[in-house]
Amino acid sequence: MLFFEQVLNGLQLGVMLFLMSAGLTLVFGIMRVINLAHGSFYMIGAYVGATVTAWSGSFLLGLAAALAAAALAGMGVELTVLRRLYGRDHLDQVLATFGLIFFFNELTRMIWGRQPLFMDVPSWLAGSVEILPGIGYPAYRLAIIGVGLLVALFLYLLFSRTRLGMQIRAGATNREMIAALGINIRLLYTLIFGLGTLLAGLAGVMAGPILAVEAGMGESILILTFVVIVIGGIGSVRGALVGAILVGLVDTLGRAFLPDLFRLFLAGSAADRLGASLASMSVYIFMAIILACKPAGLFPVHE
Amino acid sequence: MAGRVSMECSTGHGEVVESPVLEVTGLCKAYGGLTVCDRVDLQLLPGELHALIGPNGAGKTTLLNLISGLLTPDSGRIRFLGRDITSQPLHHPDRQGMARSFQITSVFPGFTVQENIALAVQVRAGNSFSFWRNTAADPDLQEPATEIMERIGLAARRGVRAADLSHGEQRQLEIAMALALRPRLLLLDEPMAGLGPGGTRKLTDLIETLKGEMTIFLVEHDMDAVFSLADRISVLVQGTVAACGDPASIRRDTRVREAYLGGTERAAAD
Amino acid sequence: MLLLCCLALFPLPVILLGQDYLLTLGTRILIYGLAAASLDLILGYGGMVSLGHAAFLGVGGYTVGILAFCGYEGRDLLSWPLALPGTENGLLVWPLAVALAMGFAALTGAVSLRTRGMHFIMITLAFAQMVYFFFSSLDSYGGSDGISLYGRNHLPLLDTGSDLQFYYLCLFCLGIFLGGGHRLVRSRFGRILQGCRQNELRLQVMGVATFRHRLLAYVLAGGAAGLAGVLLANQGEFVGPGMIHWTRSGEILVMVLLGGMGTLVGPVLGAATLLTLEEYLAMYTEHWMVFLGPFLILVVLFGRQGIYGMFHRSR
Repeated sequence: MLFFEQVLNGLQLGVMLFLMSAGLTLVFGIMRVINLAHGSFYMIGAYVGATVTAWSGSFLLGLAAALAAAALAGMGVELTVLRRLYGRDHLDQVLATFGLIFFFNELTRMIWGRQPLFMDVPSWLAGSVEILPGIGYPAYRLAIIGVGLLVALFLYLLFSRTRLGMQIRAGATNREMIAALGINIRLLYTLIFGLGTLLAGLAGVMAGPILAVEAGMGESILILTFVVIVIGGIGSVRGALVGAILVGLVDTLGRAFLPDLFRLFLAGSAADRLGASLASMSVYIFMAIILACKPAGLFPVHE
Repeated sequence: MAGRVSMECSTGHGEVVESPVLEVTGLCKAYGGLTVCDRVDLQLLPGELHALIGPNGAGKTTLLNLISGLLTPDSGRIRFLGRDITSQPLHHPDRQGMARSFQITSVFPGFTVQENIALAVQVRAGNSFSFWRNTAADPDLQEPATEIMERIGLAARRGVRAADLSHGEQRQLEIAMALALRPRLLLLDEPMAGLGPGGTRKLTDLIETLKGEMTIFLVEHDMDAVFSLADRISVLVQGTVAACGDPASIRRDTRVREAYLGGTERAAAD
Repeated sequence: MLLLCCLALFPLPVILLGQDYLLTLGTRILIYGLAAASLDLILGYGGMVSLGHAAFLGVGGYTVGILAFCGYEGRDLLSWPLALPGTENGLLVWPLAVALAMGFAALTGAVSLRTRGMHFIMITLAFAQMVYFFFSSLDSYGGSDGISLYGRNHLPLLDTGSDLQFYYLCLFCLGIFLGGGHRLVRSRFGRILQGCRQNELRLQVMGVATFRHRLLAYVLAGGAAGLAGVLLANQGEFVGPGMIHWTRSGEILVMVLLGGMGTLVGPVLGAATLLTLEEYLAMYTEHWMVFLGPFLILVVLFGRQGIYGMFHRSR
């Protein structure tokens, strides 16, 4: 029972990670820019969503506002800063996007103060759903999983059925080619980036009711997002999905069950200490194992 | 391990020669549906300058990459100095003795000319786990480097950073670095590319002086250079060796003319 | 050389003016300078962009902290297979800390150095985060609050409790590293390392097994950073997971770039600049970071030489 609940929690985390990593892996793979500030858009989504929801009383309005804010902020950043980073040393990109993080974090503290914001679960999603006889699971979390799967489906259709999607896929494997075909690269890049940040904002606003909304929240999920992308393979959205689900499950199940597992085999406080430590490290150990076998990730994109 | 040269690709002398420096048999490489190298057979004899020509897209650079170890073939064998190096990694000692230059100049842009060559000398000398001694003050490295610099003609530019050199000078530097490795086999990937007539002549003269000291495998488009330098020429068309022989016979070979000129000769005749 | 002399003379006016807190600032600059210089070794010379350098600081610092803590509590760190009692003896703790940092570098480097570019950056970040979580989860050793030390490690001949003597100790360590590093990058090993940054493929085609060199450099840098961590823990008499937070890694990276990478001395200047700025800007506005961000971006976009480069145009 508890196990099943944790599996669902893992899926929920996985879905959030997928939303974060789908856009980011595309930015890495197509524009070849390492963007450390992606977490900032997650944060923007959460803050705007929380504020608008509180002010208007409607979660859906807050959601829409969050998506718009994240997308616009993203495109703005792309136009001003990111464009100048294409083709530059990774080091430059790291530093510049690092600067962005400082800027956004502090700006957030300036506007909203240091106290975390709280967001309520919308009333029509509060309560639990009985998924199996006798087992209830919070409706809100189920909704998150649902949204995530819908987004995955949407992206799949976008990439395989639409022209825009084909252009993006072509861009992932051969950048020079799409320029040669006369497709407006600059616009395409701006759109891709905006899509990525929109998804990050979506993750942020959905995370609002579950986690505390505060400056710096983006970075903790960002590092997990990086792990997902590294495991899944840079540039591969499919890899992002698989990686995200795996990471979500490993992290959640690891934290939930490793300490108990250790207590079965070892006695005493050593078990507790070891179990707790390993639980938090489980994802990274998992990543190290995958990398040892497949340094380019599970679904590397060939160029 | 004496091997016979196939009569198709003779030097014209007709006698049995010593074992080849490089022997490529049945080499295949495909990307997806595209076969870039299709059962390539090639033999390089000691001391010869063997040129590889062919139309664009024929697979010349790929072949070079396969031989030098940057790519692994799908099937086939490569033997260098009698040893099978087909799947050996780049740093394997069996590969020692082979040096190459790149089509897009590949040097160390932040180092000066002297430092670039000294580094190559150092690689040849081995022992790169020395931590204290300043290489700039090490005669074991600097003297051979200076020698090579003078031979190549770059001595006047010894203190200039490689990134600040002209295109032709960078080419010279690349060859200098390859020489510093004292190779038995030198692979040159379109060294004349991007050089003006003056630069081409200088480089041709330089390569001429290297003949006999080592075996040279030259991939090149510049026909004047090829025909004046080569002892034997192989022609690569769509991934296979369409012809192989001494320059005179290649010049006469109809298959070669067709491959290069395509249908234009026939069109002219119409 | 000049820099070291300046640094050596620095405490004199400080003492004369009676501004003791400046001595603390100076010591921190030396320590972070060491950390940044060690990052410069692999970054500026080896071309390895590591976002996880703070992990080594943490390993070094926590070794000090945990052993000291065991000493206070009167219990052993391990009772099996060896009995390892807690200790504050610097001669035991410091080499052990550095060795552990180097060991960690060797293990993580073996995995991460097989990758490059974006992969490498993210993997180093992830490993550092792993260390962060590891130490945060050690509830018996401070957990997320960290460990407060009652004093600095003991070393023979010195009174480490004296801020002045400790300053010179840190200066000594930094000097050794800068001096050794200076020779290292000009040695055969150093040339290969620099070659890795400029054109690794070329080296590989020439037949050099570059992985070994990069790994060794990574281990050396890790050890030096571990030493910096030891010094930091001693200086503040405190060690906590905040030392390992990824923002710390980022700060060190900024110091390297601000000061001029590929110079070893530049990062020390960068450390001085950043820490001094933090100290003084914070007095004017709580939100000074808002300006640091765009400033950083501008530096990246328009200026590449760093502070050191401004003084040494010849580079």
